[in-house]
Amino acid sequence: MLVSFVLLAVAAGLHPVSGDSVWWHVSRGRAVCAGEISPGQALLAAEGNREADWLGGAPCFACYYLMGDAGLMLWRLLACAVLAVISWRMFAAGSAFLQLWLAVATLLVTSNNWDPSPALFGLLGVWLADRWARIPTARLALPVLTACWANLAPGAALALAIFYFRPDEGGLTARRKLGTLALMALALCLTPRGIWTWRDSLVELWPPLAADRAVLVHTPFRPLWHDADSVAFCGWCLLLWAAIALLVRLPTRRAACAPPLLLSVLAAAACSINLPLAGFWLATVVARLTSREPSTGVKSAASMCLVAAISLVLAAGYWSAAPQRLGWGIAPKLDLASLQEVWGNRQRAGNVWCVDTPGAGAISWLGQGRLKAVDEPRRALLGGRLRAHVLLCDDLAQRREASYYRADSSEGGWHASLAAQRVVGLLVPIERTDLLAGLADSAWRPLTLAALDIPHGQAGDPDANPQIVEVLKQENLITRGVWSAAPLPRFGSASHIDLWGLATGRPDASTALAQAAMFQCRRLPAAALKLLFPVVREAHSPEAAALFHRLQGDLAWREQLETGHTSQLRQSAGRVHPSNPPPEMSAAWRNTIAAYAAGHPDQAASVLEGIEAEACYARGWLRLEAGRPAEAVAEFRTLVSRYPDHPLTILAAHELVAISPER
Amino acid sequence: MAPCAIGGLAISAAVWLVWPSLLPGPQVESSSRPDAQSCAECHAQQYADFQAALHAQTLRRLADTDLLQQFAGRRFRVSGSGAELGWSDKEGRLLAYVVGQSRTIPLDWAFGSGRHAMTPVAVWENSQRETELLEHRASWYPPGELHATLGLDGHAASNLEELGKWHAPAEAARCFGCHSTRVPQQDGRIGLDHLLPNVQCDRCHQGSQDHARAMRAGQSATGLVHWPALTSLQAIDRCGECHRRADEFSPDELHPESARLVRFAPVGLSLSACFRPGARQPARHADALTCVRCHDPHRPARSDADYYRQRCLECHDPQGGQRKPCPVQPATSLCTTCHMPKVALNAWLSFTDHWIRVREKDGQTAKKSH
Repeated sequence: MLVSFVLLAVAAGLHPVSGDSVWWHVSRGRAVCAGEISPGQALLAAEGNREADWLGGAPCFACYYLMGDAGLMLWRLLACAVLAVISWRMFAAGSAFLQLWLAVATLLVTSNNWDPSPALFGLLGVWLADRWARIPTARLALPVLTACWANLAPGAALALAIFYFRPDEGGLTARRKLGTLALMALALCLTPRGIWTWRDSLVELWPPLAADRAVLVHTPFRPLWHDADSVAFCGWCLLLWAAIALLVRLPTRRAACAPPLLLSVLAAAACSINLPLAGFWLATVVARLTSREPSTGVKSAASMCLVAAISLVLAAGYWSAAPQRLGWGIAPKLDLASLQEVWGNRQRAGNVWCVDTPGAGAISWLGQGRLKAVDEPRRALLGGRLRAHVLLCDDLAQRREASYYRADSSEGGWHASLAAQRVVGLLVPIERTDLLAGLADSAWRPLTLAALDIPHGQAGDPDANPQIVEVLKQENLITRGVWSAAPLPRFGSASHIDLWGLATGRPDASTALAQAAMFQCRRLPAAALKLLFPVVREAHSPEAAALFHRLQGDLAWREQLETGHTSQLRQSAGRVHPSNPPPEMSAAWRNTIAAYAAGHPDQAASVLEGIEAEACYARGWLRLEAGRPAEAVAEFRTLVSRYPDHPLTILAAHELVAISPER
Repeated sequence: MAPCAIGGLAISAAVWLVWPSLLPGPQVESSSRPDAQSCAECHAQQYADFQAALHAQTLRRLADTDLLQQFAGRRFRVSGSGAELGWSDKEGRLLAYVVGQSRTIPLDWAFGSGRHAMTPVAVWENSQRETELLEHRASWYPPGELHATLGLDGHAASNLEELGKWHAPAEAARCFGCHSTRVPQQDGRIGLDHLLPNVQCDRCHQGSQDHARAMRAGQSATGLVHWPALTSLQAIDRCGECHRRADEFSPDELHPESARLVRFAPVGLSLSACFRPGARQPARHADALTCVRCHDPHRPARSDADYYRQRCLECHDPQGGQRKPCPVQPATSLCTTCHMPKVALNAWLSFTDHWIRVREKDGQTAKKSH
């Protein structure tokens, strides 16, 4: 049992650091070490309040300062190990079967808090508050614990709830209990935020206090069911199921255990970020119940097999909501090297509007006080600015540049809003394809194509113009130049080692897929296809196949718009009209489409013979997508000269001009 | 007792959390906007006057105009692109094509009142069923000329651009949004059958549905946007939602020599020396200068220059006006000739420059702004 549990802990814990808030907290820690008592105010342009948990980033920064990237990875492993030990020991009084599954559930529910961030201190706070509440001599330390928690991590008001609802096992009088509670309540205010710590703490535990649900669902503070596919949610469901089952069987414990159970469920349901904290509290409640539960019999072999299977899924990154694989280092999405080239080494100053916490963290770390992130979602929530932040995101995604009036009479439109915040750059995560598509036709242009957080500068800004021009050249090279994508990495990246890839030889396609999707939403489908071919060839992922068909659909739509005709290549490859299948294909066309869909455009062009217009056009595009523009030009020229009146000639002529602008 | 209370709290919270809630979208997309007929029940005179205003004729189905007869059978060569455009009538539908190509595009909507121009527009749904729009390259100018649409006389980057400017779904919604009172939308698809065309009462008097409901119920609370309580800047920004606002331009663009600005009256007005003293005052304040000070929004714009001279004299009257009278010309002269001249942007279209200023000082303004 223990071996299978350790196996699961290793499979889930030995992943590259990928926490959203890592750089944000490391930056906060650096600011604190530099003498700032309110790091948020020093790092964010929109921040006006002091923070209660001002010290939370200092341990993260210390770890990074002393050991670099390895320090962050060691933090993660240590956090996983400590929580694994706590989880295992917490349920030691129950049967072996229950101990294994409840420890697994508890470990999984905390998995979002293993990466370097103060949230780990919140979990330790829950554990200590629960333990100390039942030890008479330790109760005196509870106010100290509350004060430490409040200065280090969010949600410190939970300590009072844990103490209040902990069943009295030590003969604590009501007066003493109230006295301890009062001391804890006072201790909660011993932060730079003062009495407002109470308000902040309650908002952190129940975000709907500060923003309405329509706003919260677009943020990390969304209700739990929006993350129902996460690993932590599965662990929480297991714990909840166990708690309910045990309460049904132990009616005498209901009065004592039902209130904390309900409150923990409420805290988790209101906000998925609170899931580890609320889930861990739930685990302490379940642990109390299992201590009175007789053994239910051993189903060791089946349990161990199932835990081993879960371990395998987690190690391989097959869990769609947890795609990280077994590895060491910093996940590519947190690698700041590309951003460093754009904004890190230059004397650029100003405000950068970031969509999320990773972006705000990256700018805070690289900006060094010159560049400032405008806001960060958690600070925006506490400062009452989250609604404006979300509505600005919505305006960017919907391309509402010009000012307008909303149904609630507020003013929308991103142009004026960004100008009012004196924004000189935008940082958009690559997975936010809605925002990238919204910005595609605007004056905000990408400054690099290599980063997974895409920095944007404004056309016309002298500081941004050289990089914008460089990116345009790169886009043209990828689309129509002698360029083809490199094979997928099997051993990780510059920032991490992919242990799963090393062991199995299976490449990691996530970065290439994300970049292909980014090109699609920037309406560069040919470039997206070029990036997609290695994924289709090597990774065989359903996402890649779906994207391939969407790109064929985009190209077919463009053909239809431009000429009123869809080529046989696009019709066949993309199943453009499922209700109206393409005409009967010859064997050559079938082989061509099969090779193309398998990610071999060059081979597809080679097997397609004939000089009819459709074949010339298809070969031209296939050669272009294979990174052979000279051969594509020859095919398009043949089409133009032989079939001047064919609708596809219009597109061929356009491509000839685009490939050779001097013509 | 406590578990029951917490249980009740939990159930209430769960229901509250799952109850659907949406971010507020543009007002013009709201499905609950009344048409002008319900306003006419009480405001018959304003309604009748407004029917002659150009705002009430900004958008029509092309079949409801005589553009089919004006375009069909004619040819037009776009100077910038070199393409020759042709039009045909197919069963009462106007089709546009590039001469020499077989592909045609049906033009189903006409944007503009026809007083100055009318631009045919094609609308279709893309592969994601979002509404896209093509602003046609050629427009109709009275009395019957075909000429390049303003801003579309340049080089065409693609074959489609020979026929006009393609607008993505969000831009298409904005085009319809300024020419309509209600543009129902879902996932980028405009419900054209339920569109409420033209600028009607509720486009400017937001909250008119609540107002009508309250009035019918005999209540006094109106819920309408109260224009006199807006500041001058807020008032012209409301017009600027469609006619553009100064804060949508960079400082470099707000320049006296920028010919582009004359198209956007609120931008020019907000830069005017006359405007600035009352910009933060309520619109009813004596110092306040807003669009409606000169233009009655319920009637067609006046074309007699003397009417506008009278508006200037309300402040600049030599017989005791609050502001300095003109030191160069007598009060009987037409102010707009010098201070708000017409600027022609093509042979058929000219705009009044609303940046009220002493034009001899433009050089100094340029130096300051640089």
